[in-house]
Amino acid sequence: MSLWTLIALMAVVTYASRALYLFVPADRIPRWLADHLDLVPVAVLSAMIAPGVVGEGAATRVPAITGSATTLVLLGATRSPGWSVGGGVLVHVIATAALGL
Amino acid sequence: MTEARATSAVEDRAIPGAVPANPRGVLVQAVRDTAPFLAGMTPFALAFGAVAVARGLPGTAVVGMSAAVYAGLAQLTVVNLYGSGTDQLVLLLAFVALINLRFSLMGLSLLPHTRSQPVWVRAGLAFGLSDEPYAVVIHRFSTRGYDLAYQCCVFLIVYLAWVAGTALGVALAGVMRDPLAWGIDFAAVAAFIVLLAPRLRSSAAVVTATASAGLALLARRLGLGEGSLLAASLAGLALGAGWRVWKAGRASNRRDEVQL
Repeated sequence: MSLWTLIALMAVVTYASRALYLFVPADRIPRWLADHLDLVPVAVLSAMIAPGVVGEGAATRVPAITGSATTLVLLGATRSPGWSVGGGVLVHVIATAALGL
Repeated sequence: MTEARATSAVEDRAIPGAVPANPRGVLVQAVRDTAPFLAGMTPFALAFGAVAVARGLPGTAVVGMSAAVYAGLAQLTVVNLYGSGTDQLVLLLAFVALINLRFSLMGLSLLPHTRSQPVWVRAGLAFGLSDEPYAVVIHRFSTRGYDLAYQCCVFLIVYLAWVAGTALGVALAGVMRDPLAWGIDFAAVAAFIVLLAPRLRSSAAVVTATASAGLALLARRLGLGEGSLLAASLAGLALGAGWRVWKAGRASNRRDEVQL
């Protein structure tokens, strides 16, 4: 199997999964599904965040949890996404270095 | 269902709302909104480029893969499998399909916002759909209304950063220490948290988030790998929607009792 063939087929499969929704007419989405589409980002984001915060090894969990908590506290206090992310990352980096990870 | 209808109503109002802004303003806003994600994604792109070269793939193929496929998790999985000798095409593509199925879910949730666009525009935009740009645009569309120029800018910025980061990783493969060692990639997690937190305003959203997070961890423990993301998202979504329907039904029953 050629590597370029693999790449081309990967591209097709990936695009197909991205474009699948194009075949769903907007006015034909069932009401029961349309009513709950706002929960999709919540479900996807939560599933992506959880392993990054508590899913890795026990040692890396401490910096991840302190970084996440800092992010949330700063978000509540400043309402600024940039400062919140920056503060969270800073605390995470300091905690990682302090623990010698 | 009151809660759901209220949300749908907010989204309905947001659909035709073209955000008036000059092109430069839109670009600046897109750069500002994607910056936290780029800080987390770039080390991952560098690492992917370096790892792929270390696994024996030619540099041009690695950059070509990032440009044509543009799906980090799927790419890393395939590179690891391919580099360790797995060359069964069907198996590799099955992994790609499974890992990327979450994009269908994301596209579906963007549909109420993008339905005013012609199909060919949506077909082009579909290529740019990925975790980080999705998180940025769905937040923007839900709060300030749809803006095609903004969506294009965000998708293009993240795409170019991914391809450029991969190319840099390939170029520096021999000399670079592990770019993820300091945990800078945590920026992506922090940015996702910043976008998730404001959405947790209803009990249904809290149930969905708790269930998805818990199930993602459980699925990972059970060894479901990257497929755990999709499985946990779908299950969390079903539980959140179920909670919302149950709650609406209970409220309706109470109203009936009061009227009687």
